[in-house]
Amino acid sequence: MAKGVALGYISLLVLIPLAALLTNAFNHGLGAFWSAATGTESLDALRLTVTCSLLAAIFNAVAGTATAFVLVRDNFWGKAMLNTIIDLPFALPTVVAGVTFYTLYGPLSPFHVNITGSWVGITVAIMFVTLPFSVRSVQPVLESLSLDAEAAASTLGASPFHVFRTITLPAILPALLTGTGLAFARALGEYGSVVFISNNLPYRSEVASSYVYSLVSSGQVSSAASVAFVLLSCALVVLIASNVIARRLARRRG
Amino acid sequence: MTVSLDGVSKSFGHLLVLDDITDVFAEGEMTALLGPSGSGKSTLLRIIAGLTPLDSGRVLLSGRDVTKAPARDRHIGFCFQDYAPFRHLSVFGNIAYGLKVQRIPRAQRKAQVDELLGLVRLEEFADRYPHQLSGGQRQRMALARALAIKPDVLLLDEPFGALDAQVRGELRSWVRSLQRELGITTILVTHDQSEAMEIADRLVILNDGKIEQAGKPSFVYDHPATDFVAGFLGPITTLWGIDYRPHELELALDGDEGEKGTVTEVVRLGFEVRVVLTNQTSESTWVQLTHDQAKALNPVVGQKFVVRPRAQNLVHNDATSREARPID
Repeated sequence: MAKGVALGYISLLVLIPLAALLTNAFNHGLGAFWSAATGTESLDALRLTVTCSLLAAIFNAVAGTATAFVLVRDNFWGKAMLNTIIDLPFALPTVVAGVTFYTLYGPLSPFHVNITGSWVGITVAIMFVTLPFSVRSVQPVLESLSLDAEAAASTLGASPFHVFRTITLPAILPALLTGTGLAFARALGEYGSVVFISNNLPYRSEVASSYVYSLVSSGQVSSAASVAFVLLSCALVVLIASNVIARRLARRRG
Repeated sequence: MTVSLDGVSKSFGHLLVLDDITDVFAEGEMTALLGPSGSGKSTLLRIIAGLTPLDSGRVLLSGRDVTKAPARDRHIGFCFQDYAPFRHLSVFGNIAYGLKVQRIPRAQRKAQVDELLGLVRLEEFADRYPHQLSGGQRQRMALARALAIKPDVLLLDEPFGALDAQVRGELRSWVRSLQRELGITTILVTHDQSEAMEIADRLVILNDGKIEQAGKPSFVYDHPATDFVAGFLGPITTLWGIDYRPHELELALDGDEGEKGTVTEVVRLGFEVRVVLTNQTSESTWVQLTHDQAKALNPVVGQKFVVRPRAQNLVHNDATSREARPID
């Protein structure tokens, strides 16, 4: 019974829209799909999206791990507050983030920093939106980690950095990989936070999601579905790969 | 290498865990830090290893002040209560860890690890991961890992606490003989007095962050300095207002010299038989008999006997036995 409800729910929300997307992408044949997906504007948008998403995911893997460490291992005034604020990018409408970044780092920047229309601006916006993924995936693993293993390594002569590299990092790596994979997949489709700061200049600063939007706006639904399908495939491959690797790493240690 | 503690104190918040501990652990000696939970014994062990900072006092290794040295510079082997295995490394990888840190070449490292695997009888388990080992095997792996760096001092925190009775007994005597063989200064933390008595050359009994008494196990057992030590190391019973070990008393037939009493309870625990007697003024004393002694007398509830001391009673407050070793 419960299984039926779960499967029905997932079909309604995920599987049926996916099938619809697939049909739309290929309803004019493989050739039409291919030319829509590999057109210059599409390729430029996809390249920019993947590059910025990858940069943001990697940066967040590092910064997110550091943040998780501080939240788990340190005690300071306002820690509970910081712990709550981490989730803000999840709760905040991405358009609000987009407007905020535009006013802070756009042409009207109070700091005279204008990163609109560049990959830097896009990456920063994506970093903000995906920060919780890394922090929240690493944090529970760090909390459950016994400090004795690290202490044991230090009695065996290891420096703090060596202890981190050889004991702590391997322990959190599966969770970190999963979190980074999720962040990357989420970043690929990011629209609201990026749309203002990117300026949407075709071939230069247009991300894939906004290219898809412009295609739909001009009535090219099938081409839009084709580009969307490529985005979806990228996200799926990364998700599956990060999960498989993480599981394989975790299985060894039981 | 000797380990000297000079006035070591430590508080966690407002709780004083160690209060001015001074003692010397001699070269090659096996010392048991014995005390109830919360007595500060594990904290003291971690302070010696450099894993917990102290508030005041000094830690010296053969005269060298290491109070401020981090754990990695102390060259002290430490076995943790839960063994603290490196879960992502095989048994071989765990034992090789310290040698790898020292950048010992691969071939030499392999030879040393193989030797250690033989020493702790884990040759066939080299490629296993910690979660695939039994408790006893995990504990031997932890010991080999600590011994790999050829430490000057070996610290064992409740090393047999998580094992079942049979494995514990075997491992205990094995660790004892290994320690003798290697001649390494060893300090072991335990709350089990029989374990401490069996394994240690010297006992240091801690209570409430203070050393209650230190000395040879048999001496401390026979001459406890305080009521706490007397009660912690073994059972005590009273006759004529004086403390005795129950095995220091004997039963004799009614009419002989001694305190008259009626048997109110007989408990048979395998080799040991406990007989409780109550006198006319309702004071109870219990006597520990061996199986053979009990067979000869065959005490039953309601029977009358006399109780009398077989040996000298416990000498309390023996000032010469109480003191921990001062630092030169």
